[in-house]
Formats: sequence, C-alpha cells, structure tokens
Amino acid sequence: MVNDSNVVVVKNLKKYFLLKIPWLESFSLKEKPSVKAVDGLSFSIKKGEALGLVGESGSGKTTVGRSIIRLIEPTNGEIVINDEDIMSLKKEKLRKARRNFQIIFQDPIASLNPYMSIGKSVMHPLEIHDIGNRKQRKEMVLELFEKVNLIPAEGFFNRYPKQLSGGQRQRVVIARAIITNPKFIVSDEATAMLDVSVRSQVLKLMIKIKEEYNLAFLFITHDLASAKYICEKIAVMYLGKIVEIADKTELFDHPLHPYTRILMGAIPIPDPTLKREKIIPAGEIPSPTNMPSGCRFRTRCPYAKKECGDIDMSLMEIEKGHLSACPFIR
Amino acid sequence: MDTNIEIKNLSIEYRMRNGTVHAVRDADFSVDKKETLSIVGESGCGKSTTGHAILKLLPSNARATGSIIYNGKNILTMSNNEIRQIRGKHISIVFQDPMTSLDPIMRVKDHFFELIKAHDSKVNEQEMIEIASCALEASGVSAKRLNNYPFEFSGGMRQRVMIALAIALQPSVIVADEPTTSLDVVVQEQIMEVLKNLKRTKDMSIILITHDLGIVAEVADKVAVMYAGEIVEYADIYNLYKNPLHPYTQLLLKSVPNIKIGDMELHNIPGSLPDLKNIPQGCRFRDRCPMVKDICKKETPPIIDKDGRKVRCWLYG
Amino acid sequence: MISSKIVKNIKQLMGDSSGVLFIIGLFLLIAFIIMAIFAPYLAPYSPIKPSGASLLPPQSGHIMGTDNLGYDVFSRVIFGSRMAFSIAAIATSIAAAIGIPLGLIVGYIGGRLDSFVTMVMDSVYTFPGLILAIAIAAMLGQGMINISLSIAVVYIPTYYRVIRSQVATIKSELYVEGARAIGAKPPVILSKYVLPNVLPSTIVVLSMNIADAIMTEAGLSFLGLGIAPPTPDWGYDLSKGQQFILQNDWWLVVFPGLAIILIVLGFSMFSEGLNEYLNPNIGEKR
Repeated sequence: MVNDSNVVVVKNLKKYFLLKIPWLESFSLKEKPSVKAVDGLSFSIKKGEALGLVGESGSGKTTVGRSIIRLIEPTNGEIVINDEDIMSLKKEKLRKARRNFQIIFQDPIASLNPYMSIGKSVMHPLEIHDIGNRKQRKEMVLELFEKVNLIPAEGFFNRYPKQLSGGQRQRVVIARAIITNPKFIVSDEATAMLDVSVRSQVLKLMIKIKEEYNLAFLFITHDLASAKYICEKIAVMYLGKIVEIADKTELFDHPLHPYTRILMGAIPIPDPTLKREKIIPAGEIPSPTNMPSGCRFRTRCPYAKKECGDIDMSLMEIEKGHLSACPFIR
Repeated sequence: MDTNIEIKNLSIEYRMRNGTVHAVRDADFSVDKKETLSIVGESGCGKSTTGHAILKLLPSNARATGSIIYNGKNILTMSNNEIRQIRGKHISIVFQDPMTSLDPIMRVKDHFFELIKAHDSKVNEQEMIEIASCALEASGVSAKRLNNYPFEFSGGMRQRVMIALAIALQPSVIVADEPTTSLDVVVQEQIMEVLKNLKRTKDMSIILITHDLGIVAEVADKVAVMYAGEIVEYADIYNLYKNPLHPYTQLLLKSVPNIKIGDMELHNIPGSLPDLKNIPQGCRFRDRCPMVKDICKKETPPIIDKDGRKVRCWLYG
Repeated sequence: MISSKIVKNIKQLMGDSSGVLFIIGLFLLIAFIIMAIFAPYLAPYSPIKPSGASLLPPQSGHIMGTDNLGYDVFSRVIFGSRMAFSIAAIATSIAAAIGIPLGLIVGYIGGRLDSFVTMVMDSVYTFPGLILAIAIAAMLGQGMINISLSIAVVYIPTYYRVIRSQVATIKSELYVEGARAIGAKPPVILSKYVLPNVLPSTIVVLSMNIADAIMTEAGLSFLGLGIAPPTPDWGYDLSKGQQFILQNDWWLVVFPGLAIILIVLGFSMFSEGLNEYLNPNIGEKR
C-alpha cells in the first residue's frame, strides 16, 4: 500500500572520502584530493514503498545506505526520515532515533554476534530503547520469530548463530531490524550471499514485512532481477551518481540511460531459447579517484560523443516520474 | 562426437575430525569436444569438489574413488608426476577469485613463462612471448600488458589473464570454477563472451561450474544438476529448461528471478541441505521434495534413463 | 614468552597430541592446587621451625632432607606452593585488571590516544621482563604485595597488546556496526559485543601469564628481592641451596627447582591445550 507521505527524503547527499597523500605534496595542492563515493544524490521513499538502488561494485551504493542512517558521516546533504532532520541530530538524539530506521547487511554470518544467542540478539534493541518489560520483550521476540518463520520460536531462542543456516541467520537479522517497529529499513545486498532456493524465501519475507509494517524500504543490490521482484521504484547508480530513476515497470519497459540498458542486457536469462542481441560495453567501472569529466559513463558508453565531456549529469524528467541523466537519449 | 573426458562412478569423501563428509557420490558424466558442460548446484552440493577432482586438486584428507578417464588413462590413479604433465597443458582450471590466484610479485609474462617452461624447457623467450600474446589477445587483453604486474589490472582483467593462462598451451579441457561469481554483471557478460568464443575457435571442452542458472542457459550445451553430492539430473540444455524432470530442478528453475517475465511468482525450496556427514537413507532430496513417496524414504533412487535423459528420481522408475 | 616456547618444543617432540598435553598439564595443576590448599595437612613439619639436624640428606622422616637451619625441605616445598600461587594470582589479576580494560577502550576509540598508549606500552614491553621487575621491586622493597605489583607491571603490556589488536579487528566487524545501528551506547557495545569475542584469547594469555609470573617471582626471590625469610618460597630456597651445592648437598637445589619446573610446565601445557580448545581455527593445520 503506497500512499503519498514521504518517509524518507534525501537531498543532495554527498560523501567524499579524503585520500591519504604524502604530506609534502599536500602543501602544493589547493584542494585535498578525495574520492567522491556519493556525489549529490536526491531521492525520496514513500510509506510502504521500496526503492531499489542498483549498481556495480564501486558505484557507491553501499556508502549511500550507510550514510543516510549516519553509520558513516555524510559530507553534506539533507536527510529527513520520519519528519526528523537526521543531519542535525546530536549524538544521543541520533542514538535514540535509531529505533526508527534499521539496516540489514549483506553477510548474515558476520552481522550477528557469535557469542550472543539469537534470542538475545533480537531482544537487544528493545533493551536499548527501553521498550516493554522483560517478559513482554521475550514475548515480542517469540512472536516475531514466528512471523519470520523461525519455528518453533521457543526452540530457536537460545540457539547461537553458528547453529543456523544462512537463510535462517538472515531471518534473525531481519527480525532484529523490525523489532523496534521502524519506519524505514535499508537492505544492503541482503540476499547476495544466499543460494537461489533460499534467496527467494528471504525476498518474500522482506516483501511480507514491508507490507505488514508499511515500511519505507531502500533495497541496495547489484542484481536488477531481485530489485524488480521487490521494488516499486528503481534508481540506477553509476560512480556516485544516480543516472536513472523510474517506476519499476516503466524502467524495465523503457530504459533510457545507456548504462541502464547495458546493465539490463547483461543479466543472464534462465532461458536457453532466448538468443539476445547484446551490447557489451568495453572496459570496467573506472576508479573513483580518477573520474572522467562530464558524463562519468562516457568512457564505456557505446553512444558516447564529443559533447558528453561537457554535460553535468543532472537528472532530467523525460517522462512523468522517469528521470534520466543522459540528455541525448529520450 | 569424440568424447574428451569421461567421469565414471566418481565418489569423494573428506575425512574430518568429527566424521566423514560424503561430498560427491556416484557421479557420471562425459564431455565431448567443442562442448560446454555445466555443473550447476547450490553451495555445498559438491560441484567444486567434482571440478577439482578432474585435475586431482583435492586436499590431502579427501579420498576419491571411481574413474576420470582422459586419453584412455585414469587421472585418479596417476602419480603426481604424471598429473603435473596434464595440468595446464591438457586440462586447465580457472578459479573463482581472480584477486588471489595470481602471484602479486610476478609480472604477467612471468606467469606465462613459468607455465610454458614447466611443460617444455626448450622453448625460447621469443616463442614464449608469442604464445602468451596470442592467449592474451584471445581473452581480450592487449599483449602490451605482458610486462604489467597483477595489481595493475582490475578484477575482470585479472580473470581474463587467468583464462589466457588456462588456454595458453591449447588444452583440450578447461574447468572453470565459478569464474564470474566475484565479478559484476557487465564484466561477467564480457568474460562469458570470451569463454563462448574459445569454444567456437579453439576446439576446447569447457566444464563450467556455477550456481547461476542464467549463465548456464547462455553458454552451456549440457547440464548436470547436483544436489547434496549427487547428480540428480543430466540433460541437454533445451530439454532441461523446457521440461525439467527432477523435482529439485523444477523448483530451482522456479526460484530464479527472470527479468523478462512480467510479474513472476518466485518459488522457494523449503528446508535446507541434509548433513553430509550422516546422510539419511533413501533420496537425499526427500525432506524438501513436494512429490515425496514412500519408496523415497527407504531406497536411494538409481539413475533412471528417461527419453535419453538421466534423472535420479523414483517418479520415473 | 618463555613458557610458550617451551611448550612449542614439547609439542614438536610429541607430534600433534595437544589433548595429552592438556591432560598432563591439568593433572599437574590439580596436584599443585591440592598441595597449596592442604599444605598444613600434607606437610609433616612446620616450614619455619627446625625439625631435625641441619643438612640431612633425603631419608625416611625427611624425604627431601633438611636445610642448613634444620628446616624440612619437603614441608617448605609444599608451603612454597602457596606463595607461588598467591603472588602469581595477585600479579596476573592486577595486570589483567589494568591491561584488559585499557586495551578494550583504547582499541575501540583508536586514533591518537591509541598511538600514544600503544607507544608507552610497547616501550615497557621491550624491557626484559625480569630486569624491569627487579628495578621496580628494588624500588618498592620486599613483601608480597610489592612483589606482585612489580610483576604485574611487566605483564600489563601483554594483556594490553593482545586485547587491543583483537579489538581493532573486531570493531570493524559487521555485528559491531550492527550494534551501532540499533543504537547501542559504546559501553554496551564494548561489554556485550566486543568483550565476549576477545575473552577466549584473554583466558589463554591469563593462564600462560601465571606460569611466567611464577617464574619471575622465583627469579626475584632468588635474587633476594622477594619474600622475607623464613617464609617458605621456592626461589629463595633455591638461591640458599646453591651455596651448599659444592658440598654435594644436592637436595637443597633439586627439589625447589623441580617444583618450579613442574608448575610452570603444568600451566604452559594447560594453557596451550586451552588455546586449541577455545581458538580451534588457529594453527589447526600446519
């Protein structure tokens, strides 16, 4: 159920990492060199809506996920989550606000404390934010375990992460993320390390909780197919910039930006009878320390021309709700 | 067609401190010249173990029985010296992680020199550079980069170098063990294109080990689907995707998202892999199988021939 | 550390049978602990009163002989275990109580504080342990607490280094980042997420350190910087005994020396076995 109230509004988010350079050289440089991992991102997510953020490794998508919940400090930008200006929050206020937004990491093995039983792991956010008393907390955890299909819940409560399979662990992580009733969840490649047969279980579970809790969801992934399955809207990212953003069906039916088209063409289709015409670009994603001028994709773009060195990659609304950073393809 | 390599009744066990892991049981398959066979399965199904066995690259606690026949000889009974003659020259392997498979302090050309010299000490440097350049160009790397060190290459380029090394001596079989898993989709596409071209131009057999049914559909001719150490279905690619026989294959195909299908319903396979240390009697998939019958719990299904295809399931026996 | 070197050599001799080592170590430790606890019942004579003629060789009634003052060597060896244990325990507790929290906090905060404290700790660490302990003991004077303190100073850097390096890796683990994401305060993160993950290696360091502390204590007493006589102490007895070694009165040296060797070996084997049990992925395959 998508309605019109925005839960998350991000404007012009920037995260630059400073590069280490020899100190002698630092005197001769006016501006300190930096990696522009995220360079002016704007988007919003409505209640009950999932936005997919798709890109290759090195595109900066993971940095976006961590910056908007201030797990790493953004360099610049505006972040509003649930009508709260996240950027202006001081330490203690931010800590308390964290119950409203959560993150699910890629690696379910590494994201759980090996020395804490999974019941305690999931209960911990409740203790931190002082929700309920001891008995209520345990009941909430058990109830949630059932919801994420860790059954029998009582039996799972005292188990340790290493006793669970990858899919079960990721469900524990999901349970921990939603136990405080957050309004917004970031999923950072949450299904990338899972096997196909398990991945779809976890994807389904995410859709279920998104709908049940009416969550705003930021689904960060390299896999367009998973994004298509779970998201209403998809943003394609390349070298720190969003190059195209549109509703899912619109994006898949009429991809505009050359990079989106290439990304789509590159996904292997499980159907041997389908022989596709392919555009395979040359080369790989350039290093963000040495970015091309103008359009950052032009070094690999099959349609690149001279003018591409001068454009500024701002998003233009080509059709209603469909924005692209390529001025030449409409 | 001529068979290049034939695997018969291959079983592999790992002895661990706390028991024996039956990683592969009774695997049978063969690869013809100019053919790509894909071994597909989820993590822990034994696909990589099978692939490594073909080059006798198993760890010391593994015990392999059965036979792997190449050129009339059984690789499993070969001495270390014999197998070293085969590796790299007749059968070569491309590993998953291009970041750690190249020696960081050796130039690209040194990697080639070492490989070539190991098989023929009489080749001079000029010839070796020629062989290396040829292989690099075939894999999409400029021969000018022979003098570069591995760190000067990106992940995709390193994997191309790995492929070039694998094909340098014109082997007849290449084992590619998840060659693109750690790479991005666009780069994956590039690498797959290289592999497809090799098959066309160089008369090679490729054994592609992967978990990605999408990739399989694009490059393979034949598929062996593995589950919990067994090949549960063995068929040519068109039949397998059009009409999968084994329940596991059916479910697996339904759980892969396909961007070409509008609103696809994703299926999943409930439960998880059985413990390979003590495998229950009967079919290994029975606890997760929607079509389980009584006999599945009692007896291990044999390989059943169904319209020229092979499937390990009681539904057809 | 000396004790770990000893164990490595033994292990090479015995092959990969750390289980056996662990059992032998445990057995030795239990024997010594029983000895310390029940010393008044086990010792035939008082350790600080003459119980016969001086310098009697081992015989029935005095199975380890007597020393120059007529004290029973066997009784002194038994009571000596009390001193060894108490000083080792106090010293390692002080060292752990300072080194572990310091390593945790500094490792977690990192940055300049980290570089500074690590520099200080490293400079202490580079001193040869015994010499540093001698210097401090000479300053503080005799007595159990003073000796314990001077030994503790030597071992604080050991704890600090082990903990800090582990914390430095663990703090970048995803579950620690996850704890921050759910809004946990730094003290909670340290106690619930970081500490349990460094504790297993700490326990191993602890039991190894006890062995080393016993040796250092014996060394200090040997040099006359330890416990005031006539309190029974192996190191002191050893140094006194060596005056008589030229008269062939071997038992004065052999028995206290043997006690030191056995207890150190016991702790070392025990901690090595513990290490394999608690951190099984380290050094499993060679």
